[in-house]
Amino acid sequence: MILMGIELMLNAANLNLVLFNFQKTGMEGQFFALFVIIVAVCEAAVGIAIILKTYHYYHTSAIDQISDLKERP
Amino acid sequence: MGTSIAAVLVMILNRNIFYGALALLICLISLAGIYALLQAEFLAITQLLIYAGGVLVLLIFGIMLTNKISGKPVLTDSHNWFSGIIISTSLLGVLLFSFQQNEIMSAQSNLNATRHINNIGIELMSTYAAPFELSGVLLLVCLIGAALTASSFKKKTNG
Repeated sequence: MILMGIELMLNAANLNLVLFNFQKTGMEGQFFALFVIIVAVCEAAVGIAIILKTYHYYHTSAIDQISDLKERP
Repeated sequence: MGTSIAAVLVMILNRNIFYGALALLICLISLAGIYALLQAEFLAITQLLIYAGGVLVLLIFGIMLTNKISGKPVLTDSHNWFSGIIISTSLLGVLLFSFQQNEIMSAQSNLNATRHINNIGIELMSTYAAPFELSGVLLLVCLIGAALTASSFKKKTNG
């Protein structure tokens, strides 16, 4: 769920870049958006690897149920 | 644009994580359509290929692999949604303010045909060659890192 939110935010930034590229001359916005897509793909891959390892350890994928570091009152 | 906003609302407000992934798929496809309308055709096709065809398939794989087979769907909940709403509406205010300053929504501006994929290829190899090579290195490093992180090593004991 967290990963999907991160993808959403990166896509929102991409949309802003392409929109402002449409208004100005030149193509820098499209190149920036292309590199943003590449970086987002990399961090999505690493994030999914992390989630798989966390599931292997904690046997749950809902992040709210992982509360080992929560302080006890 | 309305489809993407509706898909995002479905994705956020839904507690089932699989419906969220499908809503994200609809959102990414609609964003590709928006890019094609904004004369960024290369970026539209790239978005469809990489995001909807790569990242989302990987995400759905991850959701399926980390699902317990007991039949109960994975439910998510969001605890601090109030500060999120405050931050996002303030960002929306900033963006709308900048749109009013710059007169953005004139639809007939910049309809010149100099945005071909030929130019993209040439500029990618000449002007943007350094980020291009660096992104190649980044992809290699992330590939190795993700493959190493997700694998499980069984230590062989001697004797």
